[in-house]
This record gives sequence, structure tokens and C-alpha cells, in this order.
Amino acid sequence: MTKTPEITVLLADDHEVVREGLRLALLRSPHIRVVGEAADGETAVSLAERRLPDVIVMDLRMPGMDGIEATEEIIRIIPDAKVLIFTAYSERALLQRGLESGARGYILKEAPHETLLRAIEKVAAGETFVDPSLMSALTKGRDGSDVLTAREREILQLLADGMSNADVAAQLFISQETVKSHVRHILTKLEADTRTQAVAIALRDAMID
Amino acid sequence: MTQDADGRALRERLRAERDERRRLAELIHDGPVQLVAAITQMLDAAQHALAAGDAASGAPIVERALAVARDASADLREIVSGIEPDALRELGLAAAIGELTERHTARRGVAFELDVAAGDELGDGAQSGLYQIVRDALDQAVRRGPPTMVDISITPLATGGVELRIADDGAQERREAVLDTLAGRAAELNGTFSSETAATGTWIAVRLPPVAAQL
Repeated sequence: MTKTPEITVLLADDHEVVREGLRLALLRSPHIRVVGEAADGETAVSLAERRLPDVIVMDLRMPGMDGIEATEEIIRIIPDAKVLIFTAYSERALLQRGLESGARGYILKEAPHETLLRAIEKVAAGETFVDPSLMSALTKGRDGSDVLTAREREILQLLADGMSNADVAAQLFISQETVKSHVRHILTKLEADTRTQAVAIALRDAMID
Repeated sequence: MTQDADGRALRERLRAERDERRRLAELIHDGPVQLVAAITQMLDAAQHALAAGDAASGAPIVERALAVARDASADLREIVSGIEPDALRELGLAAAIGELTERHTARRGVAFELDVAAGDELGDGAQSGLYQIVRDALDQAVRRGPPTMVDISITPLATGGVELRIADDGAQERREAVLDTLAGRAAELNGTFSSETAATGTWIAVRLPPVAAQL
């Protein structure tokens, strides 16, 4: 029997009740151990420095130093720190800045438990994770411009929702070949843009599963 | 001249409406959105426990999720009734402030000293405007760390105008943006705004000229 390696986690969120929910959820997974909790950015930075957790689960909006500033500071002190941004959907306007702060992953606060676990495990393993429901929001630049066309966004969203190429083709009344060609374009564009490389990685990941 | 004044009034109104939308978005984000996220995590954990036949772990988590759901519901009720309470229309400003402060007392144990009967003599527009200022000032005071004691008074002035004054003994941090929002609401009512923060707490005052008080 192979033993799953332990993953230590630091939780940073200014809402005590959100940390409580997360703690209760993570208790169900014995290989994940919460080694600290922070209610603001400054505390998150100092705990990250002292306890060197494998993954830092970070809320975006916090009083004082917010999650983005805290992520930047943590990455500055511990360059290989792994930050997983844990965000409410209503904060998606901040996602682009999150991408630039050095975080390795994004997950919604309302994500199913399995998605949360996968996100923590992937980020701990040094990979990137983007919550499928955030993918299309992440291809938009800060100025609202989009690297993708409307059709490409539509296809990305369907793939992010878990559809296969064949499903997408059927839904949009186009051939599978056309879908594949769109996906190639999407990947090329996303990978060419440093802001959206994480989405590209996540998309490849979503398609392999 | 008049056009300038009209333009200013329109700008103030648009600004007030934008501030109100932002206030609502922030309240919903900070309260119900977070609570529902926590409930989701808790029920997810409970479901896992129950699926594994571990009712002993699952049951207390469900109980906790239920308590948080009740909190979320109270939060939403508070947000909805704070938008424009029935009491304001039906009974007047004094009763609406009474209801608002009772909620703060019940949920957070804040004590209030009220002297607001004069508010009922004001015009409908002034009552609604002052109510929003009281509500926002209390929301902000609570957010800084609930004060133990808040004084609210509405006093007629010799000029025929009126002064609203709110003093609290809460934590000191007072962001400029918060004061700006309150000052903006006062300007929208054609009033003047002043405030002071000291070691003992913070007070704000809004003075309405006679015409504005009767609006």
C-alpha cells in the first residue's frame, strides 16, 4: 500500500467562518494537515515564513495587506512558495492581478470538495491549477480586452464545464475537426501570453482528464 | 448659474447612487457570500463523513452548517431591511432608527443612547437621507470592531435647520473613503459634514439647512 505524502497547508482568509468551513472540509482528508491560519495578509506572510507550508490557501480581499500583496511578498521571500488563491466568484475582477502575483492556482470558495483537493494536490506537486469555472474569466485582460474571440471563449467555457470535443461539436453544430482547430488556436494564443499561460496549462489538463 | 447648480446636483445624485450600489455589493460580498461559501465547505465535509458511515463526525458539522445558514439568513434580512425599511415610510425616522439600533443591539450587543424624536418633523427626503447616513455610519463602526456605546441625536437648530450627530467609542481606524461616502450623502442632501476621531472614539455630524430639512 502506498502512503499519500502529507501536504501541509496554511489558510489565509479574514472570515473566521470560512476558515472553519475549510478546516472541517480538509479534516476529511488525513493526508492534508492545516499548520496555521491567518486573518490578514501580514500574518499570512509571517506564518508562511516561519512554518514553510507546502501550500498557502489565500483569500484575495483582506483588510490591510490583501491576498495579492501577501502573495507577492511571500514569493519575494520564498521564491518557490506555492500559493493557491481561494476566491469568491464576486471577486473575479481581481483574478488578473492574481495571475501576475505569482500564485500557482485559483479555486472558487464554492468549489466541490474533490476540486479543492485536486487543486491543493496539484499545486503542492508544483503544477498549476485553475478552477474550470474561472477559465473564461481569466482570458480577459485588465482593460477588458480578450485574447480570444467570442467563439473561442464559448468553446473554452464548454470545455471548462467538462465537455469533450465531441460534445462541443454536437452542441455548436460544427465538426469535431473544427473544434480541434479552434482548441489549437486557443492554446497557441494562451501560451503566447504570459498572463494566460496558467489557463492554457489548466485547459490541457482538463482535456486530458 | 442654475445650470451649474443643476449639474452639481445631478453629479451628486449619480455619485450617491453609485456609492449605494457599491455599498450593497460590498455588504453582500462580505456577509452572505462568505457564509454560503463556508456552508458549502461544511456540508461537503458532512456528506463525506456520512458517506463513510461516520455519523458521529457528520452530525455536528451539519449542526454547525445550520447555524451558519441562520446567520446568512439574518445577514440577508438585515441588508434587505436596511435598503429602505418599511418603518421609515410607515412610522418615521425615529422609529426606523429605533429598529435599526435594536438589531445592532440584538446581534452585536452594542448599547445606544438615542435622542432622535425631532427626526419625525423633517421632510420625507431628509428623513430617508439621514436614515442612510445613520445606517452607513453604524455599518462602518461595526466593521471597525463593534463599539460598546453609540450616541445618536437629531437636534433642531436655531436657524430652522437640523443637526444629526453620531458618536461611538469603537476602534479608531477610520478610512478616508468611508468619511467621503458619508460626506457625499450629506452633500446630496445639501448639508454640511464634519467629523473628529480621538482616543475615546469618533463622532460625525451632518447639518441640514432649513430648506433641506423640509425636503
